[in-house]
Amino acid sequence: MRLKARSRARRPAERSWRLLYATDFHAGDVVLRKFLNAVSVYEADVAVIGGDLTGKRLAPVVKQDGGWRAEVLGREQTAADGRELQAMVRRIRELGQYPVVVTAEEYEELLRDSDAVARRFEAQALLQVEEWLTLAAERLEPLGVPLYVTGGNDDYFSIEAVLDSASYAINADGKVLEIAPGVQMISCGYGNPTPWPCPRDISEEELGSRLEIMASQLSDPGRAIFNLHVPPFGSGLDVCAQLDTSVDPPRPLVGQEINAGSTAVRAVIERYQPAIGLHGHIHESSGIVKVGSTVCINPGSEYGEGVLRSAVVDFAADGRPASWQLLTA
Amino acid sequence: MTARADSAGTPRVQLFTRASSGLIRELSFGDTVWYGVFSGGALFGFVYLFPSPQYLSPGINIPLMLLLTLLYGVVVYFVYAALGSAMPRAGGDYLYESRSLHPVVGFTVPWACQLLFWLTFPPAGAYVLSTFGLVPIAQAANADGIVSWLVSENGVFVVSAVTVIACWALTISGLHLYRRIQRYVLVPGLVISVLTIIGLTLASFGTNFSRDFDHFQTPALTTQQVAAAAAKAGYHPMGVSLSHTLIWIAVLAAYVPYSMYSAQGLLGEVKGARSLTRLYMSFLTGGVILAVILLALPFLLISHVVGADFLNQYAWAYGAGLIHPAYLPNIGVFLSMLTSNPLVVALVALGFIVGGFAIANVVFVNSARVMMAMGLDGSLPSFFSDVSDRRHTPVKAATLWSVCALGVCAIFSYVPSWFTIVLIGGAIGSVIVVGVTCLAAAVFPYRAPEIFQASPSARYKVGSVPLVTIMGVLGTVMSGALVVVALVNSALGLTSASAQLVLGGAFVTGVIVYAAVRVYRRREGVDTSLAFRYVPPE
Repeated sequence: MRLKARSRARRPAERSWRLLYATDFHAGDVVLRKFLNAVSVYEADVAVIGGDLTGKRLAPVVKQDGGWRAEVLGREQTAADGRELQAMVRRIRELGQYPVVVTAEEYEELLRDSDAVARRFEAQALLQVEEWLTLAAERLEPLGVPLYVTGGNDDYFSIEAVLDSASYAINADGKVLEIAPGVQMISCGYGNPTPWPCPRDISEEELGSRLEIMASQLSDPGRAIFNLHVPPFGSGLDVCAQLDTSVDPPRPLVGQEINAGSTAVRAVIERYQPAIGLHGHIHESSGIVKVGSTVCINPGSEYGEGVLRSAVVDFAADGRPASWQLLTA
Repeated sequence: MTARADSAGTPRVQLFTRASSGLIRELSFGDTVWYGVFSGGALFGFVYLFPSPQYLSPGINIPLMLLLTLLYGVVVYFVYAALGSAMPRAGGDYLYESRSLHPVVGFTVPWACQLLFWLTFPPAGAYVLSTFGLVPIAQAANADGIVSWLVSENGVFVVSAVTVIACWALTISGLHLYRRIQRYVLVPGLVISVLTIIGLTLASFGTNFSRDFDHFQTPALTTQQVAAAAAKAGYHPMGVSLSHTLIWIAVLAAYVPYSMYSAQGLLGEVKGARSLTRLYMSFLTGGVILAVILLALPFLLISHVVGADFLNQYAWAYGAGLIHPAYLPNIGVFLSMLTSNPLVVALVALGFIVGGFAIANVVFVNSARVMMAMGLDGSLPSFFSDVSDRRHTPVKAATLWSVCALGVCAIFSYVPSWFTIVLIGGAIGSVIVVGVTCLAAAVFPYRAPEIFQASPSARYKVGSVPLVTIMGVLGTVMSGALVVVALVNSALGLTSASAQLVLGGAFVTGVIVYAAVRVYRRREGVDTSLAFRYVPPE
């Protein structure tokens, strides 16, 4: 059953504190900046960023004939001077792509060497996550709003070190954290297998074990938040195109939809019945549903369009969620 | 990896991608075009082309009107392609207007439009399916009893109800089943029918239509009787009236441009929706197929065979109530007069059956998605966005709307005077929502600069003015003119108090629902003001 807000008929409890959640930024600079600004605009007291921070595309900006060339929005564009180059790079970043300024020789090398491309990808991803965390500290520390971040199934393991060394943000992955008095949160960026070889794709059994270890440590699971990147299987938050895995890369089958959520995530939610489930992973399947008594939220993602899709959850003084809603900015 | 070469022979710089999850749903280019063609009124549009225009607006030139409507479409297609490629997801007008203008506008106008669609298309689609499709087949089979029942109030209602139930069943079964039915039943049925119409009319060139007409009905209604009745009604042959031709664009403008409508509603599932040119070409292709091949060409051929003057005489005689044919007059019946072969009649009728069914079904498919987008945004109760776990479709909302549609079908069937009001009202509602979306496009680069800058349309400018702004202004002015024409011209039937009540009521209910939901949300403890706050991207 999809919900938009609390469905109980009794008078709503007064808000004590507010949580802002968004996920799947995939290198989208605009979305990250909007999220950081949304903390004050939406008057949030706690901020949580779900997984999949890193991007999917690397955009070479090739230095050639006294200028630079790059593909932007499917068209080749040129920059004649440093100012235009800066604008081009910024534009590429806003699209959720990693711009890399290279010489023609370096570009040729990238075309020939897929390992070199992979190294560039990872280096750019780490660099950007580090920049984001620095910006987050600048914006949120003065507000006193804590920021919890996890990786996602698409994220390199190497970003863990960057998250761990952040001056302000807290790497929540794999931890049981008390984020407000009486409210604990467990977080997991790992996901069930996808048709792609994603860094954090693991079996349902292994995922279940990881979740169980954290959930079993909760003092009051009924008031807890499960910040799990992958949505519960068959919840309606996990509907996406079925893929033809006989080709590489896998190709969507037109009009055929499946549930791509995790059975392990569903099982742990059904067993412990936390107050809130925060999810992402399936960008096009945003919504709020109930799994048992747990309110599960997937705000979706439109990082490529620079649109911030987020969820706001208001909690009462007793630590129970009072209301919840999806927002688009 | 391969590098593409530009026109100068230099290899193009290419992006590198890495294996990662997160693809979106996809409809093919062909699916999108055909879906648009059906939602724009493939063959269904004939219900607007005869006999009302000839009687109410003497001198109207239907093919010219259709081509001029296509020009309006060229502007509107660009607006929707620009907005669609900037926000390639389901929701269409609701999304664009709420982002670029204001959430109140974004809710109220599409709400009114959807309400008018529900009032119009399930019963109107069933009407075409029955009178243009089933009736000629029954006539060809000499099943007079069935013909009488089909044109009776009960017959119209039963066929409408069955159509609504079929649409409901298809909607809750999901897009996948519809796509297959469209690909393997609707499109072949339409193509076969149109080819048969073209072949039948070409084969009938030079034949004696008067003789066919005189022998069609028992007791006979002859061409002489029609001519005499028309003369009594004041008819006399006249040349083309440009003003009367332009007036009816206000009605057809809702259809030809709306070959993009369904694609907009389903944009989250369209392959390549991020490409402005791809979207524009798919809309344009759909518009040309619809206006030229499915409406203008068949009408031209039929006019040639039947005689344009006789079509006018018939419309005048029937409009004045001076002739009483045993059938509801329409182009489908005239086509069945051209042949005594039941198979040919059935093949012609097939196109009207699939066209009528498809336009009724489009309302279910698209409105369900728009209402779902409103529900997810909190502008409507969660009931509308409640997706069935088993079917992944909005079963509850589809069921509610189906019950409402059955009620509308009953009114439509048993209160015939509502026919014109609902039919034209639905059309004008579409023009209004297109006009407001054009306005949203005009201000889009300034109201949502970060989304615009990230969109493909940001590349197109005239001087320093974004092309989407220019086309948006043009579309707003054209739409506004068409709405004014519809509201002041009595020929279109929207000058009556009841018609304006229906039209105005649709918008007023939108404001009421919007306000009521906000109050309800606030009482739930939801801070509704958050949805309207501006979050800077810096």
